[in-house]
Amino acid sequence: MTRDLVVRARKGDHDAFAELAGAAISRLDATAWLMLRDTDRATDAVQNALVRAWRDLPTLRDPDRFDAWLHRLVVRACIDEIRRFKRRRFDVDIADLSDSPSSVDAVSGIADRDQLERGFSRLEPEERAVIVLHHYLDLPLPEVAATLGIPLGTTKSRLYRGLKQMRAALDADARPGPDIREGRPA
Amino acid sequence: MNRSDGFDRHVSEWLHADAEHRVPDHLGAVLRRTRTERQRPAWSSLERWLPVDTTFRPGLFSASSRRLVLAALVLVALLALVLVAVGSRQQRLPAPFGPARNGVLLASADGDIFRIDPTTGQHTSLIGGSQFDFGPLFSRDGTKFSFLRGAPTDCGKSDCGLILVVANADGTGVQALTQGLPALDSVDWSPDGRQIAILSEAPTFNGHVIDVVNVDGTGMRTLDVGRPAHEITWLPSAANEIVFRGEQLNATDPPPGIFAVRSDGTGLRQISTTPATSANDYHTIALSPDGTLVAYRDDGDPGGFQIHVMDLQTKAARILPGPRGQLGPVFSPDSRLVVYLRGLPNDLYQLVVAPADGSTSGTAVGPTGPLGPDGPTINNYFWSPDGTAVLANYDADKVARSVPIDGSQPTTLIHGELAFPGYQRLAP
Repeated sequence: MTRDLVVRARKGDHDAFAELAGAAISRLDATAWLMLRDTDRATDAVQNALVRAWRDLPTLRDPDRFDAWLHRLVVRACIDEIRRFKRRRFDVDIADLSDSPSSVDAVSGIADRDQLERGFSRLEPEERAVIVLHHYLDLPLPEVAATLGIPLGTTKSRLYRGLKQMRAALDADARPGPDIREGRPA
Repeated sequence: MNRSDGFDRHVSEWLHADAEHRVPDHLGAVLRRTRTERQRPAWSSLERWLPVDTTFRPGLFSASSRRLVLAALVLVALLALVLVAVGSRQQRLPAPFGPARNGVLLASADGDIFRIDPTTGQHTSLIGGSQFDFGPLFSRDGTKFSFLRGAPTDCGKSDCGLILVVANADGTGVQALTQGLPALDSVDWSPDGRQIAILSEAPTFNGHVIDVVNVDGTGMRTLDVGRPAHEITWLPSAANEIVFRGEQLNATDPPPGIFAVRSDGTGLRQISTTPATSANDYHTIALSPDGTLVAYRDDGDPGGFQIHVMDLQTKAARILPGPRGQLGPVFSPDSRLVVYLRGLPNDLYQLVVAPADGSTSGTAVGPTGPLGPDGPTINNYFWSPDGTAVLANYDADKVARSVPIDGSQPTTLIHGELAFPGYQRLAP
């Protein structure tokens, strides 16, 4: 079914493309949101990726690779967005976490979420991409590698580095600091 | 407790919980934008042009034919002397493979083809006009060049394809050899310059077929190789064989491999002997100009893409040393070096020149380029005929550059869309 839609969209059938985009958009939105942590920027990234997908669809050789290709376009759009903001010395606004879902039960608590968020936001965009594709979209690592167009070994090392840094952020926050009471060291 | 597994799960749960964040519905806005956006022609993807094979290879001669060749060369030399004596200005032609003298440099940019002075970078228009022309590629004797022309878009299909066109080296005698062919990919001149092998869209399955076009305009035939084909290149031999990557149509088909077929469609044979273990194996194949080696990229699981160099006779293969993430090998004119693309951190890529015998891990040359939506943005690279430089398209910068392999400063040849260079070979 999807293959048929891709073949039709590749030949310029806009209705077929609308169906494909409609089926994919919530997954793409979630991916972009996880990578960018900002609703407006996530929307921009997904829109740009879908416009590009429509424009470039005739160049897609293998219709069966449509999903991977679309994810790749979204991830690339997110990476570009992160780089653009980095150049403007943008720091992730931790206060935006109040926008995050309140499904605290799914994780071990607000504190952990904050620490994971902090660790995640410090990662290089390429490391974020591997973590989101593998741990959110549940793609096996060879599929992540194919989606990003990078070797499997690079994928593994990015995942390892990313998780290590997130764990380090968690550990750093868990270490007891100086006990400050009323502004004085204990 | 396995702390790593626990942490992985923790991250996964956090991401799934966090992904419940709702982005306001914007599908309508996207579709309003796409409805007014024109689709790109299929041929305009650079990915489709990785790699255009422009390696040049010396022929392989048997001992008996070597004597004949020697005799012929003596005759040619005598004839040349006579011609010089009578004041003829006719040019000697280079052998179809191996090192040669650098001749005219052509490059396409923004739909036109230019002649470039490699020392000053000055360029003059050679093929202009309103049509979109790109990808100049000289015949091995340097007397003609081919290029691709966007077909008129009123064919009633979304992809009207590309037309293969040839011209004399000076830009005269422009002649279209084909109709518009959808998904027209790699172009490679036969050793004798009478035929051009191309890939085009298969009419009955998803993939490419090999077409062989006569340069005199007398026809084109499609070779039946029983499976989708990709990455064509002529074997440096007298057998008129075309080497290609045989691909899978379905996951249950025989795995991909390297094959050869004669240009008349007979003599199909498999060159690779070890079965592929991944759909990414036996990719971006290149033959050494001396006809003894084939290089290709393997998946290299679990460490990343690696370039293998296989002896065509013994089938023994070695892996080029150095960091993994090696792509797209191309042999130097003397067959001793390989230029390939190496993946670097942060999705950057750079050309690397390395000995084909694997004795060192090679030297990076030229600037880096990022990964683009079609793949690495450094592409369509090939050696200058004299083997002193690598010419490449740096698509992120929209330029074609000449990158000397001695580490000196690269030269920008031309700016523009699809900035692909092509070098004429002259007799040494």
